[in-house]
Amino acid sequence: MFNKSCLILDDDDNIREPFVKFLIRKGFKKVFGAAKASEALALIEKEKPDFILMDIQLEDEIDGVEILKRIKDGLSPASQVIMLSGHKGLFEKTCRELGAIDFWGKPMDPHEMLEKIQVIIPNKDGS
Amino acid sequence: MTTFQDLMHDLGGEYTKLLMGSVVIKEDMDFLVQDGHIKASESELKETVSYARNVLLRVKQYMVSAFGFLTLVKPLIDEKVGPNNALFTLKAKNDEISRLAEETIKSLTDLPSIEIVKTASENIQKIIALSKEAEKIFFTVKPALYEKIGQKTEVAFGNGFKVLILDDQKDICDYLSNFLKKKGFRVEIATTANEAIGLAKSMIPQIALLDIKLDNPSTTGIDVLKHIRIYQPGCRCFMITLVDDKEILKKCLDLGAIGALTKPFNVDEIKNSLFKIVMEILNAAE
Repeated sequence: MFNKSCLILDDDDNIREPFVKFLIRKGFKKVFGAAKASEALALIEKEKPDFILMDIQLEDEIDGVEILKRIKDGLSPASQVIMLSGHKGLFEKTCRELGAIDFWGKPMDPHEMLEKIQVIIPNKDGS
Repeated sequence: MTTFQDLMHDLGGEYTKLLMGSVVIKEDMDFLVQDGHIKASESELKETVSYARNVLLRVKQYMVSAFGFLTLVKPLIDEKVGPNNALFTLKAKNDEISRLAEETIKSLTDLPSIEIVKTASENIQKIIALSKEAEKIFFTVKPALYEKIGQKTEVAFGNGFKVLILDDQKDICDYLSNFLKKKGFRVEIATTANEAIGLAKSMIPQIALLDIKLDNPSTTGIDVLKHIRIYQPGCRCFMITLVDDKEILKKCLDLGAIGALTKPFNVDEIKNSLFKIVMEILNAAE
């Protein structure tokens, strides 16, 4: 359905794993899940995913905002990034200024998320 | 500091997890059924069922945690805002989600019939609908409560639980007692092992903080620990110890103590340990 690749960064297995499963079923070409910032950075550099969804708050040495900076500073500037946060609004302005195209508050329904993703990355390849 | 905001945030997080897992297993179930038949190999079917069961078990756990968070914020809401019906409604939805999850887990055998799969799918659909309703209530009341209570308000998470403190130094007992009372616990103190054993019988504490080394060397906190483990196995025992007491501490853990507070005390350590115990007790009560 989508000739697109996607990366989900969330340190909560119970959110990340089902969502990865969900997106694979919906026909994304490649879906990567990362629990840690280091893991995500390596994957982003190697795979340059079309779409990245990441949680701002990570129990990690670097947070989502810092990763966003690195993506836009050269790691994979063409990737479309959406930030996910439990606190709607907090950091939203910063993230948008840094190049995130959207900012979602939790909780989100996977179906609604997919709809939004489809709007953000239209399937130009027609496949 | 355990704030109101932290607890509300955690409660919202539980709904996200619930929704993520449920939507995926609902699709899994529907994927199995095509044209009125189960279209899957035995191994695929087994795998799908096992995944669904695991997710449903987690759904039950989320609801138990959510119940715990509600119990902790409710006294504060009652105090600052007045009794809030929305929380009762939320609790009722959570209970119903829990019940449906339980029922579905029980019905799902390793190789279920198509009827069982269909019923499971319907139940999961109900769980999804209920969780959306619960989530809606939660996200309607949350901002209003934030406004009235203030996000950084500390929550007295003690929940009225009874704590027995044993330490031969009266000033340490008083220090811990004052600290715990402020956190919403009910506290009794003892300075000798015999006194502690007597109090354990009369007050039936949910939590005991027991100093290992006492002035009178013939009885120690370990004796009290042994007594409580036999007569009140439901009581969570925490030892109070000096940092270098590693071997004795190991003995206490073997005897059923769940952890230790080390002297000199670190207030955050005490608070975090007790917060975890409170959540455990609340969860176990469900």
